[in-house]
Amino acid sequence: MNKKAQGGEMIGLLVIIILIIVIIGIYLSFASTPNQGGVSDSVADLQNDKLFSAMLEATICGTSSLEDVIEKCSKGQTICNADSCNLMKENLDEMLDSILGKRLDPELKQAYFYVKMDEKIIYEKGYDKLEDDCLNRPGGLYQPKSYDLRPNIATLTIARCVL
Amino acid sequence: MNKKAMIEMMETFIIIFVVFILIGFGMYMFVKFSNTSTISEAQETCEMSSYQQLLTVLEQPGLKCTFMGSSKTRDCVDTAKLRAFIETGANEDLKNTACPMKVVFKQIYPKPNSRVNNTECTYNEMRSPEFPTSCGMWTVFVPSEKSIEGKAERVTSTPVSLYYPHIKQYGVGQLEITTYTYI
Repeated sequence: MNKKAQGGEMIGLLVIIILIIVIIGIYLSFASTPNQGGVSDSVADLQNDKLFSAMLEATICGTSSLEDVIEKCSKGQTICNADSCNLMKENLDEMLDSILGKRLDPELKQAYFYVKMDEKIIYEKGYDKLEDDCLNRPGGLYQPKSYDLRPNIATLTIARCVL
Repeated sequence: MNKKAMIEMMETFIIIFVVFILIGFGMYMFVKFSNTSTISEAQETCEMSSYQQLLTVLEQPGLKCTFMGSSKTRDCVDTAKLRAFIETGANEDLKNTACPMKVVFKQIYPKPNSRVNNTECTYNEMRSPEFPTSCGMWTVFVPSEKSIEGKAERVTSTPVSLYYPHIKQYGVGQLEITTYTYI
């Protein structure tokens, strides 16, 4: 009889322990669910789209936009009596400094912007080893976003590392 | 009372004590968890609201560039329309948001002179020969001091293309939405 009662108590204790473990498990699974970043992803997408369209539309000289300057650079032509590639670099430097500021500081390892023509990088700013570095960081998510200037003129890319 | 009865009494008291501690701990965890989730839900609502506000402001027909009556060719904000939007009080529609928000367009490129970074681009400034470098911002909406007292600021921003119709040129601006929340 005494042994039977002891067996019942043991089962009760076991049930309580299992319940506590299940509750702790559920709590931890909720607590450690990573933020999917729905809103922040949408904001980042919007920022990238607007960044490209605003930069390319900006008037650089006379009535020429940055898009015109890049096109002339790809063809090796001058624009507004100046070297189009130099004009592009000077203006990209100024725009990116104002828009992205410290985020393009290579020491901060947060962002990398580059312009490619014929598979060759002709302009770059930021941390050029961002992709490898980001993928090696715990929870690092490498997010590049490109914009093609057609037909086959250039590709502008902004890459960010989201932790 | 014999010794066995005393031990059983003690056992009962200990069990009741442990049960109360467990209930108290459960209540504490529940309150803490529900508080945290309420605050984070409020935060998410504010974030969502500021994102929607970004889209709303950028898609305002009263601000978008139009060419020959159509806005299809360029994705930009007309600065003359922006000034009129502020002056005529059309910006009051932006008041109805989940959290208090400040909405400002900042001039980025061409870069304004450093001493005019915080100068409002009024009609006078926009008629100046140095424009767009003569002023630094268009304040669309500012919440009352009372509604933002003791709250933390969170800034959401996006670059935008700005059109200056007086000189028929395009520049780069930044639409900044500052949301005021409790955390």
